[in-house]
Amino acid sequence: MTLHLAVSLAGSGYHPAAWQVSPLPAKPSAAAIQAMARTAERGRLDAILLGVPVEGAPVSENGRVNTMQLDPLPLLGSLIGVTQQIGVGAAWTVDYTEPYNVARVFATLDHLSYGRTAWIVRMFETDALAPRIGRASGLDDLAAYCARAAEFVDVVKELWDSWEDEAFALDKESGMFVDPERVHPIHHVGRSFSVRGPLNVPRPPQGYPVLVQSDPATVIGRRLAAATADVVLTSSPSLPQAEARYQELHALAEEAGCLAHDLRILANMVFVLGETESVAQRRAAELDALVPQDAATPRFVGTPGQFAALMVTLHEQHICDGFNLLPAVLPHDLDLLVDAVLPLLQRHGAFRSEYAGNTLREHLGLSRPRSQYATGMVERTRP
Amino acid sequence: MKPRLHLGLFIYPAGHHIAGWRHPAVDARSIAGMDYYRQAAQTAERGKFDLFFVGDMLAARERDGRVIREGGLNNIDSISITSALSAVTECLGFVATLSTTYNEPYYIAERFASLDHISNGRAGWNIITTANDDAAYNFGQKSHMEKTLRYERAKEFIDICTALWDSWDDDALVADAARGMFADQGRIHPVDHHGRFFSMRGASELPRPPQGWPVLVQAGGSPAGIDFAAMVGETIFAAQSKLDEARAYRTAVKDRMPKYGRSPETLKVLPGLSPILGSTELEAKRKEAELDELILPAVGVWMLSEQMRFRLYDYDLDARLPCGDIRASDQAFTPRVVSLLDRAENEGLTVRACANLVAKSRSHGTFVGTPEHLADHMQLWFDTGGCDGFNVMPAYFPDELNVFVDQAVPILQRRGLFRTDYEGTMLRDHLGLAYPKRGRATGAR
Repeated sequence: MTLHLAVSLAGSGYHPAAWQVSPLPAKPSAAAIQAMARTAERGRLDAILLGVPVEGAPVSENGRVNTMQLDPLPLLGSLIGVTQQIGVGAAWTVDYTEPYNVARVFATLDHLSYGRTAWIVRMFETDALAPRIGRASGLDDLAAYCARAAEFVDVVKELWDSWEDEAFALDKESGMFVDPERVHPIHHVGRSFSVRGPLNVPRPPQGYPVLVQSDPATVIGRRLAAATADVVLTSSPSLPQAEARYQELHALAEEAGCLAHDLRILANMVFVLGETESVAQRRAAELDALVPQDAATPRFVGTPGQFAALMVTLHEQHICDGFNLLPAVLPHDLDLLVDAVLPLLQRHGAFRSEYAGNTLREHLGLSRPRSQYATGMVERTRP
Repeated sequence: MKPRLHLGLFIYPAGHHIAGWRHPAVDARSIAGMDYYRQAAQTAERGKFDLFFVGDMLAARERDGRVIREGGLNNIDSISITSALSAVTECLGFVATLSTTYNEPYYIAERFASLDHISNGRAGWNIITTANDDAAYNFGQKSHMEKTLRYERAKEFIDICTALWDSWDDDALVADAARGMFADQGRIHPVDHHGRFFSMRGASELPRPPQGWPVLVQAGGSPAGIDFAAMVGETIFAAQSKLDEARAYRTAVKDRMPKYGRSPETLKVLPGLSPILGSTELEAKRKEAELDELILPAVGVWMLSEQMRFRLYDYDLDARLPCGDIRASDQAFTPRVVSLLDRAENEGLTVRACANLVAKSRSHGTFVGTPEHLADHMQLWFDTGGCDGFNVMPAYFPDELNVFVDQAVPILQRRGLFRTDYEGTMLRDHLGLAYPKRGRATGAR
């Protein structure tokens, strides 16, 4: 199996001093992100991920993150029309959010993009958000928190399923726009949510947009992630820990009754590239001299050849199924990735040279889930 | 320079005519994908429209718990569509509709600030409190919040949003690499709000949006809605289908503005207008008849019942509309319903005729005729105080939009009623609205 590679784009890059050296404008710029999205697509990457939380996020002296925090949802929207095939994912927290809104927005984005979206399911962040919303954080009772989060994701999936694939009939002859027999109120009544449904958007082209989650810090959190996510992003500080985490997540997925082969584990990796090793080391040293990067952040510094070799090795050793690549400085490290690293991987057959499918699920080799209401039905063929 | 019309394009999946999707020219399969919306937006930009408008509904269209068979798709999420289209257009403004009843102000403020940044100042927010009762069941509520409370909540919601948009001073983003200072914390002012519905503290994650605030759009027609529009609205999507009603409505809103310290010119009223155009009167009428043929009676009666909140399913289609029974159901009718009831009584309209009227345009204004006559119609409304422009509602896409842009817009331009090119880059420029000062939208400005 070949590597799966996503790239995260945020502000000037994932080094806390990136904004001091990047040529990109400091103010929020959609044009800059759109240009980088085209670069990522030229590299045939699986997906662009927006709003991915990273351990040790860059913080300036005055306590403010050094990148602009554009809302990832409209930002994702702005990439749909300027790319053709690459997957696009955006973070949206389950905290203080309603499942109907999440299901509706991601169903819309998946339709607009013809099946290229991912929902990065953010959770465990109520401590930071609570004051801005004005409600209690709820994190003191982790079990209850996880139960709510699990119910949230279940309701979202039920809403996506509430229209069977064939419900969108559009039969001009009979005047049947929607087949009412195939649209189902979900009548969900649970501990945290009561949602009648149905959704008012047809089932997403991918069935469900791809669900991405960051590796939680606790076992109970990991159990939830393994049971609900298609893709888990890990940030292990050492190789043995990464290997152990890979095994643990697969075991938890199987325990939850999920197919382990339908779980993709991508390792977060900040990278600083240089044409020679000394150039790369000098760049990293100069950046760290401005603002030191957290030592716990998994980071690669070196040449494109070394980076390609490392990715192949880690993949072969079952440390991960691929990587979520975090360019240290944009657009420089992204450009080097696409122009110098990916061609090496492609030459070795470790990464695709062309997209084989049209949806993000196809890029990731994930199956398309069936509607809970349509057991035994024929899957809709793709446009 | 004499004042000119403002034009919005109101997109609606499958067209504004309820049976538009059945028209042979429509590729109904395409209505949820990017290409459909891109084509519409780029055509509107070619026609130099001020803005592209997307509505919002938070429940499926249904009758008695079953989704409606003959036309079940509401607008899909407005922020998704508008953000996607902002990347494939350069000047066109975008108005997205979001409810203050089923969202949190912090998230919505950040979302619209982002849309305004992403589009370089082309965002507008159509503020709604959500009128359909069914939405409540999708958000864990046993019943929909009562209207007065909804508007109270909306006011507080908007105060928080504008305060968040104002939380960065214009010079707060320093980006001084030599000093290592990205943003000057001293010039970012956290909002501290404690009110009846919300209690929160925090600043935006973003610099002030390019337009200061996205343009605040409103669509309320009830007395509470009119008051709210006079208080905060900078653009109103109105629903009057007759000139005298439109004039009365526009006057009512504008007359109320000084009470809130606002000048009447700072508000643009755009009624909906659904044109069916032909090169001759006869051809237009034939097109209209063709479309009307495609309406199944069941869908018209359903739409009429929903709008009047009165079950008409068991009434004879060819009997007169039971206006007495409907009025006796004793509810607070919207102006649209009142207007339709008056018309049905005056003209002796049948249930079927009323159902067709609603199905054609959801009882917004319609026009059937030649582009020249349409221009006359628009000019009359504009010159006699009925409106500041129109929110154009094509019966189906893309053909009817193309006809409007290619044939009606040039006539309006020749008459000096409409711009021949954009003069600014932001939505506020197009609408002739000022960049807002820092402060409260709901207080005296």
